[in-house]
Amino acid sequence: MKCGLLLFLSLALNLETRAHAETLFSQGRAAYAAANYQRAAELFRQAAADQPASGTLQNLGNSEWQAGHSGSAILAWEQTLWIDPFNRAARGNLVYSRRAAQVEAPELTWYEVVSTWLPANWWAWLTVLSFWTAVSVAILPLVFRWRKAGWQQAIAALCLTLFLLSLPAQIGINTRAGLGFILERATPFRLTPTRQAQVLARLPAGEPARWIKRRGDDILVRTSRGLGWVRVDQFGLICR
Amino acid sequence: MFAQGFISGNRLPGNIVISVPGMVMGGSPMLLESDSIELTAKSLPKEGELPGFTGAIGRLALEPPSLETNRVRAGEPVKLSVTVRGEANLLRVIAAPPPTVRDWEIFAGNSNSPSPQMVQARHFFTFDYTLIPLSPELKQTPPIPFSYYDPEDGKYKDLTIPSLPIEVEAGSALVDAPNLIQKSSDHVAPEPEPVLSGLASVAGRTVTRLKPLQRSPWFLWSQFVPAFLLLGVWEWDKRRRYLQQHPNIILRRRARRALRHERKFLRDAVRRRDGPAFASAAVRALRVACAPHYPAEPRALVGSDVLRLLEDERENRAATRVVREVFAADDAGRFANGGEQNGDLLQLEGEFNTVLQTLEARL
Repeated sequence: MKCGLLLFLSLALNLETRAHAETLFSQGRAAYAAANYQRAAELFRQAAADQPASGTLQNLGNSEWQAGHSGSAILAWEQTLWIDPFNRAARGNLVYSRRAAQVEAPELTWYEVVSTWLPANWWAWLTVLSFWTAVSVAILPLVFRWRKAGWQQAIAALCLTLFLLSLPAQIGINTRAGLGFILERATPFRLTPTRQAQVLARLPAGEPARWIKRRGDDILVRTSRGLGWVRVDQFGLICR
Repeated sequence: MFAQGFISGNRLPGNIVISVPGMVMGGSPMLLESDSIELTAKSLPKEGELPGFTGAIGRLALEPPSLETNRVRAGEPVKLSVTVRGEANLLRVIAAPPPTVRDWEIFAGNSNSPSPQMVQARHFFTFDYTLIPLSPELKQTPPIPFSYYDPEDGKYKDLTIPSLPIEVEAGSALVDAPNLIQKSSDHVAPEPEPVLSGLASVAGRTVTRLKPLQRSPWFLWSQFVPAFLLLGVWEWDKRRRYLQQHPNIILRRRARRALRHERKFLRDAVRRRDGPAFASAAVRALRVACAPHYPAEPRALVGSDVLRLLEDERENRAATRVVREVFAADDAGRFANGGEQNGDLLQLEGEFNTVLQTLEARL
């Protein structure tokens, strides 16, 4: 009884959150059409906070770009592709913005490239379902003393193959989760996490970087220029 | 000294270094390094951009181009040299891309580039094209679009390399002209410039959060569920096979359950001081307790069957007596008129319970 009540309450809350996100989405579109890009970005950001969605994040990226925040725009489009790698508009926007802002795309290893072929959560379910299906199809006939059939072995082999092929993508998802982008232009890239630290370079907005560790309000990141520290509010992770 | 310029990008990190050419009065050439200053970089206008613009900014002029020779055979290359003069950063002048023209194969050749200092000193720059005519019917070279941006006028200026007359003779070598012409016409159009897309009309695919499932504790812990399920199925099957091989275990379990059920009836009968009901419940309890030992249906057992199980208890003659009396009372209650005296039978309750416990211990 209690479980049913909890389930009902959570469903109701979910529906309300979704409705609120849709309202914010519509308001954001209206603000964008009225060229109020700052307001549109705020609305899309709130909608994405309620319910992350590929269309919402794409629109957030467009609004941020129009408002002059190239770093936030690139981050939003990358998050769009994280959810939906098939979103051509976001992919095109990233090419356009990187060319305009003269920043490089993040360098990905081969297993990270594989992980971009499908949405992040699809890989998790693919791995889990294929593994347990293979194990079940292999074990259950032994348990119940069923007659061995060719289709059982075929299914087990197929599922095992899918499982093994999805493992590199799992590694790629894990490493790509530490990828982020510089949000502000001319961000000081410091040698140490101190106020008087030597500035190694000034990073442009949209520069890719990988999160290494955090110390207070500073983050150690790795960029194409090497290791350095930036402030936590100047860096945006793809999957924060 | 001041610096002024237009660039195509707007990214200006770090200090600006201005090298002073030539000799400075009273000293040798020196390098001036200024402090960081803020510059406003204007983007080049998109309107009015002419074909062949490759980023040249300044004031340029084109000297008449020259052909290596104006008589050539079809399929043989000929070099076209183009000299550009001007007051611009000539080091940044890039040759116009070769156009795609029917009946011609055009390649941008290596530029005749001396040292950068020489280029800056001479104020001119020469680059070459390699042209291959594919047909003997050609009379002139194709024009090559080229343009530059004049910052003083704020306009793009055309600097197209004009056509030059040429005489093309039929080639002696076999030239697969149709194939080359086909390749020219099938030349892949340049990739369109990316543009900012419009807004998405719907929210699209959603997730509960951006953090991947693989990093969620509940997802990792939930992997134990199928493991436990499979383990449970295996254990259940193992137990089922064991019980199949040992059916008496099930029979005894059922008997214990039925005995507990019959004890309730016994207690009710004692409470109600109902002798016949007590006798009936007692007989059923004895049958249920003895049935697994035979095995048989409990209803099929009689008093002697129960007594046979109590043969080991020979010294306990009371148990034998109780069993006989209970069966007799039950038979009398069912088949004879009148019945056993209720009071005597109920007094056997204690001894009967002892017998029942003995039989239950054997289950």
